Amino acid sequence: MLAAALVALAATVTGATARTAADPGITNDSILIGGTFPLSGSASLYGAIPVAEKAYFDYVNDTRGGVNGRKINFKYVDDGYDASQTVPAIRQLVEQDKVFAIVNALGTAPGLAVRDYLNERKVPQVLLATGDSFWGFQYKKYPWTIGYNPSYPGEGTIFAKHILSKTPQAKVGVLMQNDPFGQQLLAGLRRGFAPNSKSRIVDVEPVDVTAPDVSQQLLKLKASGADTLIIFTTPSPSIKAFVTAAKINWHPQIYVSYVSASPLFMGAIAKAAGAAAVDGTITTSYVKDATNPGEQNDPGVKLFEQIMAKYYPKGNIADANLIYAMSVAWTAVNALQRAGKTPTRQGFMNALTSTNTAANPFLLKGVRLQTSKTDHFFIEDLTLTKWANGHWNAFGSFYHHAR
Amino acid sequence: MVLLLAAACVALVIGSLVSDQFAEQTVAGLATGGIFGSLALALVLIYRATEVINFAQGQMAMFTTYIAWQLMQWGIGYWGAFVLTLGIAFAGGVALLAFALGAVFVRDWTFERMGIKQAGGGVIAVVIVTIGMLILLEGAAAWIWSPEIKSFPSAFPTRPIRVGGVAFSIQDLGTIGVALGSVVVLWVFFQFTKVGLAMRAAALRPFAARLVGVRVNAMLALGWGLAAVLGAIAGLMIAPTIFLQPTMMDTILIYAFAAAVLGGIESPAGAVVGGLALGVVLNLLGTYVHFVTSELRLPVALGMLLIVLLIKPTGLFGHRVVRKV
Repeated sequence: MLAAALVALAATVTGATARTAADPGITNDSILIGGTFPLSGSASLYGAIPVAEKAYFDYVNDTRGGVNGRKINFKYVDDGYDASQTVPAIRQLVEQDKVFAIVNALGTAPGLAVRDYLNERKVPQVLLATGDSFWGFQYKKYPWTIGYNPSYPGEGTIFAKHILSKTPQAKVGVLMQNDPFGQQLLAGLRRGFAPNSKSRIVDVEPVDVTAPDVSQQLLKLKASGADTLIIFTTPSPSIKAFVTAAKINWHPQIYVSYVSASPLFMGAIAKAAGAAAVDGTITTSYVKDATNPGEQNDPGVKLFEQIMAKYYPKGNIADANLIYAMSVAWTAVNALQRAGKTPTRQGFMNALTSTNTAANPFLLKGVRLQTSKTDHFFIEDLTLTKWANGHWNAFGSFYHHAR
Repeated sequence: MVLLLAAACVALVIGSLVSDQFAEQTVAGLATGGIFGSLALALVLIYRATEVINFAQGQMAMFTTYIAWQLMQWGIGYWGAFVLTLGIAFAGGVALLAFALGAVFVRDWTFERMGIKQAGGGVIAVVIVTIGMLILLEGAAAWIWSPEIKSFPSAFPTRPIRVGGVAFSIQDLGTIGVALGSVVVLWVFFQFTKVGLAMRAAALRPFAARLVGVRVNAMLALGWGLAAVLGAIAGLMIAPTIFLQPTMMDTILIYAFAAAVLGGIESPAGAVVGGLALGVVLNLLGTYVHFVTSELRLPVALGMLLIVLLIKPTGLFGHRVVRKV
């Protein structure tokens, strides 16, 4: 009798838990996701990214009632691009706020600082805003982690391939940010030039991200006889490099990493140092460009502008980070839709690692988001694009498997 | 010391005649050094006036540069905005001193009310307040103007000029000229005007100065105001190359500290010479000494600074101060 009662009790208890056993962050009408971003400090120019993501989630909430009847709430927290601040911020999001997942948290060092913790707690750390290739390669050890941005070495290799096909005699000078970001881009470039990378690259000048100026490096690169300058630095040193090259009357063919190629920066440089300082510059691209007159009638660009106007009117649509942010938010919503009627963290990870779509409206036509259990690289399709007439102009065919 | 500097100048000139790259690197180094020097000069002025190292100096320069940008956005021409900005910077510098002293006063008053006894600490307290202002100004700039990078026009043409086959940037030459010009103007001001004399007196012997009728507090305020103006000039000179950003002056201030100490923290001429020397040495080290890669440049430069200070603890232009205890 007692045993039967216990069994009955146990049954009700399990039944009750089964009904409400949603993962943290999921209620009947809402999903809470979180992320850390540099809203202040040295990288605060990326602070607009989470605002644009929230704008897209708000748009989805208002027009479609969210995902499967649940509104998406996005809580983003400032970490000042400082890993020591990321750790408590992420813990706060996971332990107190009980977020369902960490989405698009920005930066390599901040991401590394919480990767072990999030994997241990089995919290999805996904669509990270960083392009280091190890996010994609180390999926076995960190199954709860997946990146988003194209891999830096992949971009370096594409530059090498393009130089080999168009200007095989080019003498290449590299301005490299002296950290893993710059080193990975350079490694990719060398891989692309192999086995002749030594003779192709005539000079590599390292620069610290906080260097007050880059004139010493630029003058040395110019003196090395290089006719092609590759800028593997983040926005602030890149801008200095463009302006300084013009200042010292050096006009090489310039390649710059997509990280620093926002139309916002290019336009500002042209304004300060003349159009000649930026015209002809080549970079890679995968997001649409709202400043390009040729893309004005594109439905994705129109949607972007419409969402910006309604939910983030203060944002500057020339900032490539904003349309990038919406492409991330789209991808997150897409995975949530496929994560089940009541999404679980595991279901969300399964959905993210089985993405196969070319429908993201904010990405260039030709970019396919494709992942699998063993392929944790989200964006591997890149095209080259050249700055002319005040905007980027994509040319040539897509490069695939950039990693 | 003068002989040593003259020898260094001769060496630079000879080097520049021999090698184009040497000449270009030297001029570019002098230009960056001029910025370090202008900011170092501002630090020296404040140190002389109040014996305080102003950690907010870089952010004051950044903030005033943003003000110049805003004025230009409102349609005021470059030079109009330039002059207005210097005026606003002066007022801002005075206001910040009032703020710093006021904060210390409020603290003392509160402690007194709470019955906490504490001994002086005036200088340290003001230094801490300047650190607070650093954070405040950086946050305020990001809040008002957004952290987005903004371009900034140059006072000088962006095209280069050619001298004997070597291309020099007019912007760089202009920056060097402005740095040297400011120190000459200041020197004339301190040496040949009554107010300059009063400022020196107020800094050297505040009590005695007050007895002979110098308004010491006004002189201190003048020192802070002038420092803010110099900072604004540094900001306006560097912004066309590094663009506007709330963090634009962060590392430059560290080099300016080094320049000020190298020159002797109380010497205006020393600050500018220290800045120029630092700029040139950093560029030439990076170019010709191959083991000095970019990560070693600053440590090596600071190592040299240490050696200079070991040989001459008061800096290149400083003189020994004897204090009775």
